[in-house]
Amino acid sequence: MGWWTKREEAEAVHLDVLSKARNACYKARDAFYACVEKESSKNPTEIASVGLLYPAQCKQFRANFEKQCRPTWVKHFDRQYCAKKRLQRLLDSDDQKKGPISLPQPSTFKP
Amino acid sequence: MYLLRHCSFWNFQSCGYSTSHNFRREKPKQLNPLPDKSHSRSWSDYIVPVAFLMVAGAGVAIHYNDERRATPKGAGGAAKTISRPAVGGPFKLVNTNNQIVTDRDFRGNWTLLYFGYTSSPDVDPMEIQKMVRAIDVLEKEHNMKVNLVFITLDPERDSPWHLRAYLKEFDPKIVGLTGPIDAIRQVAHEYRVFFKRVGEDNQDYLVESSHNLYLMDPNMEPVKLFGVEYDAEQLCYDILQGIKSVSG
Repeated sequence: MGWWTKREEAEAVHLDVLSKARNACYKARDAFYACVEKESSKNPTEIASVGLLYPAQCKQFRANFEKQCRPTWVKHFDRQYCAKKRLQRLLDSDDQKKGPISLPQPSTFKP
Repeated sequence: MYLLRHCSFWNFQSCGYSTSHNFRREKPKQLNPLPDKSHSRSWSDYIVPVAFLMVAGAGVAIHYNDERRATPKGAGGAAKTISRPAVGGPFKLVNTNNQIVTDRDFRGNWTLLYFGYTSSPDVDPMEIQKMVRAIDVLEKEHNMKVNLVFITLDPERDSPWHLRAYLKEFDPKIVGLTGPIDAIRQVAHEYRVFFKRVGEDNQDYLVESSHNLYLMDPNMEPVKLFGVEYDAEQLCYDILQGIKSVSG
């Protein structure tokens, strides 16, 4: 039609959003979050995106997740996972994790 | 009795001014020598009826205004048209075979319309699957044919070729529409679809949008719209109800 500048650009098919790649991405994503849940007792040291931290044991799952999915998708799923966790925290009866998140160290501010 | 007393009260008042018992007979005589007195008498005579008329007039005017603005209770015909979503309009887009398609091409059949984009991580593929499942059931169990139309909100990446490859995996029957960004903007505006580019990351981005399915009748008039909360069964049932409510 002519709103794409080049013909090859118009005919390009983005394979990474078609079902095969999409399902591979979903699989890698589920594997990563399953690992985070399993290793939740470990200290989360590695930085994911949008403020999510995960334990070092899940590093290879994370690498695979980032390889299989588009970066914007990874961020989207991370954001979704964080929102899910936040909701769970409010609903959980477990009193340790319920309520406001406590800061890791006390404030050292002195006037 | 009340009326009488009322009259006598007025007589008494005017007597005070005219110094006569017969008010009517004396009036012309008194008019000339005492013009200021008669003036004050006529002023006080008129102000009460005028005020009364003004209040009554205002009351009548308010009543008729209320009556005019009120909607009659049993207006069934008007309610039927109001219950439909006030969206829709003509469009001119390009299908996956790079041919021009307008809203007129979908007339004559029921149509289920969805606005989305192929780079969506999860919601759009789920929505397309849902509508395909609902339409399959309608076709097999109720022998009803409903067109499926997918209009992209991301025409820069969703070329006809890409859209065809993407939609073929769900159902080759889905009509994929794309077009110049201005045409997409116009159709999105007509259907009151919100869309916005978010999370831009080195040429890659997501599109935030309203995920509504629109059921259009054979005249391409909207009948109902369905949000993401519907599952395939509920969607199928509600489409059936929508079709029945219009075709009777």
